[in-house]
Amino acid sequence: MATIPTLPIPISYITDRYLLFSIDAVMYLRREHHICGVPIGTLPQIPQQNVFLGLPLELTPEEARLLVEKGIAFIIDEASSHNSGLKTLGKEDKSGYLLELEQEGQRAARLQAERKEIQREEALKQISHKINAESEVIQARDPAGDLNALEDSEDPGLFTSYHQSGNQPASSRASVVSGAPMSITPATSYPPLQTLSSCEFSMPLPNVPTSYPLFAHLHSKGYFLAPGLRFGCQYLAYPGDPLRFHSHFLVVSAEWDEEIDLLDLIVCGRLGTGVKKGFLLGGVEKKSHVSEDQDSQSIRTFSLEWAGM
Amino acid sequence: MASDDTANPTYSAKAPPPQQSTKPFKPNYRHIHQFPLPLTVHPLPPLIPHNPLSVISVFLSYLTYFISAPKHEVYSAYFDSATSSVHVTDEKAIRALWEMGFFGKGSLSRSEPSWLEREKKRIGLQGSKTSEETTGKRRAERREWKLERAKKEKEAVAQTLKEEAAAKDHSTTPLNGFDEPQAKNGVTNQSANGIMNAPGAQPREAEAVELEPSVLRDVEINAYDNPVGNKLPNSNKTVRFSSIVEETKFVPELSTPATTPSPTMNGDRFDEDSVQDEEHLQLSNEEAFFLVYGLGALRVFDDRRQSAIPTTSLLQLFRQHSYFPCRDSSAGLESDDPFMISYVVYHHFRSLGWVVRSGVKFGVDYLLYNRGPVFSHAEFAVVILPSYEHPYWFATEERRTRASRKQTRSWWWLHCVNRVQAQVKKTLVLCFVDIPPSTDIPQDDIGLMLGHYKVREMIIKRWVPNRSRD
Repeated sequence: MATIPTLPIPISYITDRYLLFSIDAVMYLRREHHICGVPIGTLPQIPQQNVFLGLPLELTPEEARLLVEKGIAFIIDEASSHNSGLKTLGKEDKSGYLLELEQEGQRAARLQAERKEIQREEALKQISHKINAESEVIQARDPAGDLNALEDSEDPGLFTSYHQSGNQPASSRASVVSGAPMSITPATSYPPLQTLSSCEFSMPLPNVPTSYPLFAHLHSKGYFLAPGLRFGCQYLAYPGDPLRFHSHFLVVSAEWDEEIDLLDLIVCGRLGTGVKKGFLLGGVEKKSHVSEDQDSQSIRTFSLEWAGM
Repeated sequence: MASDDTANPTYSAKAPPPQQSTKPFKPNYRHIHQFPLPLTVHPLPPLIPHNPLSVISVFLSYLTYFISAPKHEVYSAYFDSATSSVHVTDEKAIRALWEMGFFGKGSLSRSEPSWLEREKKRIGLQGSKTSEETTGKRRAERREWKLERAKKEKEAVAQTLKEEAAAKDHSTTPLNGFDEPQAKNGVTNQSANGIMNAPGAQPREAEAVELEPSVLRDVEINAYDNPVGNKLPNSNKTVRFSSIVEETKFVPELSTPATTPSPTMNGDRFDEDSVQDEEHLQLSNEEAFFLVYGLGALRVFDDRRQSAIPTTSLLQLFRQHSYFPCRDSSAGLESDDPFMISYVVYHHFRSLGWVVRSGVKFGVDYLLYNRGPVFSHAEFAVVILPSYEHPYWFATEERRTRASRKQTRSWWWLHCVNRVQAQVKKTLVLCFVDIPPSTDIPQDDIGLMLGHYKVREMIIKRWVPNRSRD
């Protein structure tokens, strides 16, 4: 399962959104780089709900920028690269890709047939066991005291007969099922098209809000960060994967010399304490004496708790 | 969560239930706070056109008021520029301003100035209750209950252990340890001993000599466990009794409330006059200005408490002090002074009959109470947002940036405030104040000046579809 996609991963830039379409990339980023993003695609099986969503995965500009800066991903202008890529795609490339798709469809069909076969066999086996058990019960109820010898002689016969009857149609059916290949809808455009991190469609670094340094800082400390707008903050900081942990901090970023309304501190402190989290305020420390070439910014964070509740 | 909100929400003016002895005395708030504002009104008798007598009565009452004008109470306060707030120190004024309209806050209390009462209570002069004490008592009770529970659990464990140990003891050395020390000390009367030692009375003298060390050990245990007397039929009971003794020993320590009367050397020395009221009433600048300008019920003196500040210069003063650091000259005043904006909203809601109090504890500007904090919880939490919609504010680039800087709020902030208000069950009201241009504001006529501001309210509610479904 732990497949590593080819690096760098292309992040598709479509209508001001940074999207990922490849499940491998999504899993890899979540596992290795603590980037969760937000799935925004409807699940085709259950379309009338929006609690559980699937691919594509939307990345915030901060997440996209972090990945690009780390060299794990690059951003590609999806629309134009897709258009030009399809135009320049050669005939044999196209047919090769279609052939590949068909082969994959066949493989999938075969896999599914096998799986069905296994399930069927399991079911039959269970039925045979049940019948067997029933017959045993019936025999046990037999009023005659010493039928043991009789049972012993009869039992294997029963078993074999059921086994044979169960097995024979299954094997015959298996050879029959290898029909039409399943049609596969590719979710990514990068198997047919070439991925080049240095192509003309790769985009510059995304514009990020001023909270980016704090985001990068907390991410480097091992926190999983999720957008926190729903909860009244900028980010939620989780100590591990959000599926396993509750978040520890409501994170809000501020400029070093920004004026902060005391009412806002009160309300944020109350909010954090009310949901048993810390309210974390942080930003880049502005040092007057430090020269610019020392590019490691020092980030300072403060957490706040409402004591009266 | 919002329990600290009102002084005591459960209080009502209804007739108390029959078992009054258990319940504390509740003041009749409906009577105490019968006047909504510190104003006395003198209504004329009704004028009935076809009844000439009514005209006469109206005329007569007019005349009486004309000849001897009814005295209009004006309270006095002083402005403290160090804390930029208005203080009321006169006892009568404090009570009046609190009882009629819930103005201000006691400097040593949560809201109602009740320090003196608490202090008297503390030194044991008074029996009635303040809201702080109610909360404190509730907390103390809860803590005590928890301690009690923990103690019970511990006792149960100890008891079973002791019972087991005693059962074992009983089987090995029956009763010997008991008799011997009694005999030695000569405390016991013979009859009690006789009852006790009924099963094994005869051999005890002989055994006692042999079992000397264990006897000594038991002497200590016995002396500790059972200092009251030795009337116990067997050792098993001794254990149970001792646990009771233990309990009586350390219950008083636990149950002593935190507010025990302080050690008074001679209890009757304290009387009503010996406790000085060290508390004063703090009025916010908006409250003070409303009392001065809106109601005419207050005079604000300056720092030296020499001369009363006239209303227009009081407004200037408050506007200057709404900046930090405070602006010295009136030239630096703008139409969007923090004081102007907050006063406009205060005046607006007070005029509509709400009791307006500071909402700092919930991170909002104002809380609106229907009749007052002692009657019910606040219903609405008001957040003030300046709005720059006049074309004046779009004229130049500088004004545009200024306006956008002042009225920009982030989305997460709104969600944050909204969630907190949902936690404390208040309805969030966004109150927009349209800021007039700084230029065409008349500085001398306060009424005209206030007329330039417009207030719009908007209720925000977090709607969760899954929970709002029937």
